[in-house]
Amino acid sequence: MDIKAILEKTYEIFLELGVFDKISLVYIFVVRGIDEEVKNLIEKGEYEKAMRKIIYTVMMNINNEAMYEEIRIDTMNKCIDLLHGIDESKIDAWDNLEEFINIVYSFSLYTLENKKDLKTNKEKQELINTKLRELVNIYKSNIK
Amino acid sequence: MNPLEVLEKAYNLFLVSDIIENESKIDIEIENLLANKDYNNIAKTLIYTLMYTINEDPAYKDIRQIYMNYLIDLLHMIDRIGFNNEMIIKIFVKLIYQFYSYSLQYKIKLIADKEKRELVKAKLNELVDIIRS
Repeated sequence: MDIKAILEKTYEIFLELGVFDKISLVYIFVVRGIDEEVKNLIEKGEYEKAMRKIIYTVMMNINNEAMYEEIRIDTMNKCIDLLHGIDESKIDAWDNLEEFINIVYSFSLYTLENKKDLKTNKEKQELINTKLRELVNIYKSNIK
Repeated sequence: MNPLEVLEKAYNLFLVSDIIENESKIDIEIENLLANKDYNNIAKTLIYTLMYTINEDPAYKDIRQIYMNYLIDLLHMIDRIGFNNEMIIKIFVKLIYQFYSYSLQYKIKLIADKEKRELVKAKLNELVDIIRS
């Protein structure tokens, strides 16, 4: 599976969703924004670090934003499981990548449907939906 | 400061306290990691078990948000710097201390069982003593 394409697409989607903002406030050691860090890591080919940062971003959002309360317990558990999975085997293990896409997709869709400024912005909604379809297509083209 | 000693003491504390979610799953795994002295993965596995508990157990509702942020932050720091670093070890111990201080006050299992309570206190002190010394 094309890890780079998956991470790049996720990065684009998260940027449009505006979910990166949450994370940079908390980290003591982050000077730059987390979005720039993720971008740089992908460019440098440090895919595992980039993937972990994206997972942390999901965790931070669902932990701190009240709108995610309904999906919090389940999504948080899935994120912890995935971090654990990445530690145990490689990030390109099929199960890990599949679960990563699964988390990104459902988190993004939920955000799109529930975040106030996105609900009313039709143009942005279409853009994000297109990118989500592209992410699913990358996944589908790799199932043989 | 010996990272392995800290991790072993933290693990022993988790084992006697009997309040961690997914406890049965981590036993064998941590034993293996301890044997291999794989500091980063032992620390992360211990953090994950705290995260599962904080996320699911309603007893931790009031501290969930802030405490989870600290744990995510710590994972992030371990990714960047590695566990074998004095500052990281201190934060790790401090967070475990906070978790158990809270548990001793609010977790019924520990409040009701005096013997277990004393055991947890003793193991917690052993852990905290390492960074005090």
